Amino acid sequence: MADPVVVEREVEIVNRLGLHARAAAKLVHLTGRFRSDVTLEMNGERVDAKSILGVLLLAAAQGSKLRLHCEGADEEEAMAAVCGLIAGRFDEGE
Amino acid sequence: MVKTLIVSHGDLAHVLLRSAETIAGPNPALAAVSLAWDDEPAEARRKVAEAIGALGAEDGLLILTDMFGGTPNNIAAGFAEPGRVEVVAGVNLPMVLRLECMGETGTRTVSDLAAWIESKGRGSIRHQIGAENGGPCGG
Repeated sequence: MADPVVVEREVEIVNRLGLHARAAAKLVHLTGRFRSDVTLEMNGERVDAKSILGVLLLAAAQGSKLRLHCEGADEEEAMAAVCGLIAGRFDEGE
Repeated sequence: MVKTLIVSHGDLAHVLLRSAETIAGPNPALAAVSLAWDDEPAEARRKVAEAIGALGAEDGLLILTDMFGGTPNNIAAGFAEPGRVEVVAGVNLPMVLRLECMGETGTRTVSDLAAWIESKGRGSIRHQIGAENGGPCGG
């Protein structure tokens, strides 16, 4: 069996309102579609990106830099999807 | 699937549910019943019973009430059956939001779900120390 591989990347929150409640809900809905474990880390706090209360705990404002970790069968796809959502400003337009 | 009913005086139960739905989208496993301040106990019981019937609770029911010791909680306690209908007092928005985000309650029994959501509710209360974190909206 292959060693588990973790995909990691630094992502910046670029939308004006930051990782607020509705953005967090979109993120959680997205990560929930993947089998991989997805976590977010900021200021030494690492949370489950499939748990809305965990994501909200980060209170990540615009400009925050987060470490995104994906681990599991579809980690590359999960990474691409989450990065796309964050870079796309959670479809908020600003 | 275990269902959840939020019970409060005034509009609180409905407002909590609407707020959670605005954030996370609707979830048919959750419903709310708001009791009027001047409802007689029999009328309050009837409203709760009707809401339980409409929700359907064959696999178990979690009732979240606004405040321990208040009438909504006392009424809800009358429906409690350990392992089948569990009551947790002191509902807050993070608790409702967490349940709203749950597609399925999975294999959790209603008793496990009650203990778990109580811990989530407690854990979501935080004393914000100064500007340790500016928050998503910068304030």
